[in-house]
Amino acid sequence: MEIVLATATNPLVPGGATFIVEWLASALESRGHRVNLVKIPFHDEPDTLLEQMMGVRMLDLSRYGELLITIRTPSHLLRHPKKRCWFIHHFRSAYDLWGTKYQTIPHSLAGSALRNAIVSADTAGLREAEHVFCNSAVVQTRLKRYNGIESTVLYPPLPPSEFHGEVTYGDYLLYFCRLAHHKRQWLAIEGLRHTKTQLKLVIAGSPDPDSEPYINELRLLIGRYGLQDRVTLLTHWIDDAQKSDLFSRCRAVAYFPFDEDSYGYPSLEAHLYRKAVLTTSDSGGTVELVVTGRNGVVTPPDPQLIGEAMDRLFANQAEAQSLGEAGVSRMAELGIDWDAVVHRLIS
Amino acid sequence: MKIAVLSGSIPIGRSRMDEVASALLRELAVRGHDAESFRIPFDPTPDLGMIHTILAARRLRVANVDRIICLDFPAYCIPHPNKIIWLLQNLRQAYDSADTPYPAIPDTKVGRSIRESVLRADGDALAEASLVVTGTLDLRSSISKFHGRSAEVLRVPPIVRSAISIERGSFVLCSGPVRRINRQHLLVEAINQCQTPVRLIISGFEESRAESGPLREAIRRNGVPGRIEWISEPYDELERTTLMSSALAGAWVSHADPQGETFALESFRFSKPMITCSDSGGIAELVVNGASGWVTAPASIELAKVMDEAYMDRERTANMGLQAHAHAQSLEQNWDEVIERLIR
Repeated sequence: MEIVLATATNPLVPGGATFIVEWLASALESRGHRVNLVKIPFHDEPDTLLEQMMGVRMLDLSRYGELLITIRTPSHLLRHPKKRCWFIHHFRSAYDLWGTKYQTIPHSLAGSALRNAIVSADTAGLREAEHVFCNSAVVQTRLKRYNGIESTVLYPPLPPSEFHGEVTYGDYLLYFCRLAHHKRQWLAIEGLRHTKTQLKLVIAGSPDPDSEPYINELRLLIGRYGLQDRVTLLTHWIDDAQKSDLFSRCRAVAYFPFDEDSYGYPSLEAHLYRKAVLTTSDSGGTVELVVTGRNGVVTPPDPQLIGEAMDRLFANQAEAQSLGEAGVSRMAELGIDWDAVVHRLIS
Repeated sequence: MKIAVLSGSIPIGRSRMDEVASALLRELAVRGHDAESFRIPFDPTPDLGMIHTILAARRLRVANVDRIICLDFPAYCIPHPNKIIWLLQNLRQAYDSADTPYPAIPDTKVGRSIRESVLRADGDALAEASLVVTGTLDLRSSISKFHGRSAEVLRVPPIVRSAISIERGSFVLCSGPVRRINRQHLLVEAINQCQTPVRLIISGFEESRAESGPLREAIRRNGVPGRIEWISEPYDELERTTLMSSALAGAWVSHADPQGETFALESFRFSKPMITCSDSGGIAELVVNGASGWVTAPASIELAKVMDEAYMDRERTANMGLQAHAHAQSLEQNWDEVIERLIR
């Protein structure tokens, strides 16, 4: 099938939203489809956001390809007679982050009008789609609640790969994702402060643009609690070999994002290396994947309780290992594989 | 340095511009720059959609980079405080006047407003840019004539590895998009008038039925079985390289094509002389008649004569190829020079 795969992204910010497009393209191509990638620059900045959305809307793909699949917002505004959306997150400031401290649109009359315009435009674009898929039950609920759109959850898998190397269960928890405040690396430090064991923490990930103040905040926090010897903060781009090394030697993976849209690649990655996932009950998508006592631990986002869960993973290595090893069967149970995804998306 | 490379193209198929964008990205990366490419879709159908495309591009924003490098329409319409335009292709349809033999934009009210909008948008984009360089002499003359903007010429370095090729098949290769103005049909008609069994391979993506009409019609009327082949698949680097190295000669007979020089240089790099027409634009100046190729009147009978010549005196054709190759080398710019100029 001749497929146009469209997305909109900020340049040079690699992350889940970029990878899902690349992986889907290769999954489609390896199944004999012709994929034409359309990548439009997009800046999540409130002042010009609506203008940019209009721009995307005005691009016309309608004469090309048998099917248009859109991924990142606002690519669902593109027009095509046969459009399907795999919607991975809203421009959250206008949605669930509205009224929280993560809101970037000003809380003013103009800001409210902008918010309404964004919601209406999204709804109109999504309504045109033949089918809307999303990447988690969290996003599914938001689509229903804010846009009145019904959608089907289609969990994004990792690229087709397996890790065959040796896995050990070392003395550190790994927190591997972009360095951004809402990813809450700070909560892991707060949790570690309450531990009674000598568990260590490795925080690694590429920084978001303008994240220098946040990284300094993390450094200050580590200093304030005197955790310099137990926390390692890696803020440079981690290559595949180093990443593989970090995952294969950690005790378990910690991931506490605030109300995340999906279970997050760090969680899947953890399971690839047969590691358990420690997450928090308000992390959104992660709790769809992680079941306490099965393939990880879900705790309330309370530093004291997080600390206790951390201690337990440290004290009981056998338990950490068996939770980690159960990850593969948990992923199979949720249908997290490319055959299933491709089948649903194009048939 | 953080850089975004922006190009425009019809949403399906891989174009030559996509190849240039990937090559540029690769060359920037090996020199330690952080670069990512974006592809702005556009539909060349001459209706109001084309004006929407311009308006769309003007509304997009590229953040988080120190500069953007734009290669063609409509990518160069995207605003940025540090915009570099390496103009490899404009929307030539809008620059061809309505009295050219093959106007792709009709001389109607809508057609005229499309022309006007594209010219104005190009003028604005060029005025905003911090640097403008062009891929061919023709594009340089065009922006000087229409927009009063001067620019250096910075040719695209070889993207595929090419070499002097001693292999010589019995076919003339015409590689480039199938459009009315590119007149591939003249070559088809010529084959029918050739005295020798020379063959023709057209490797060109069919962008629309309207644009491929004359070629389809010519093949239907003149199709000599086994002597004409049209590969309408999207651009494929490996296939093109293979075809180029085994061709007898290249041919590009477009009417006043500002990009024609690029096609000639590509052919030269594979040591193939080029057949072109006296009204084809800068390419007709680049090709030295009787030395690195043939420059004929834009008529099928004339083209038939030179195709026969190329076929009959293969040794001479081979020698012309060697001259062409030397000529290409003398004009060649390498990636070091190009990148240095683009990021200075």
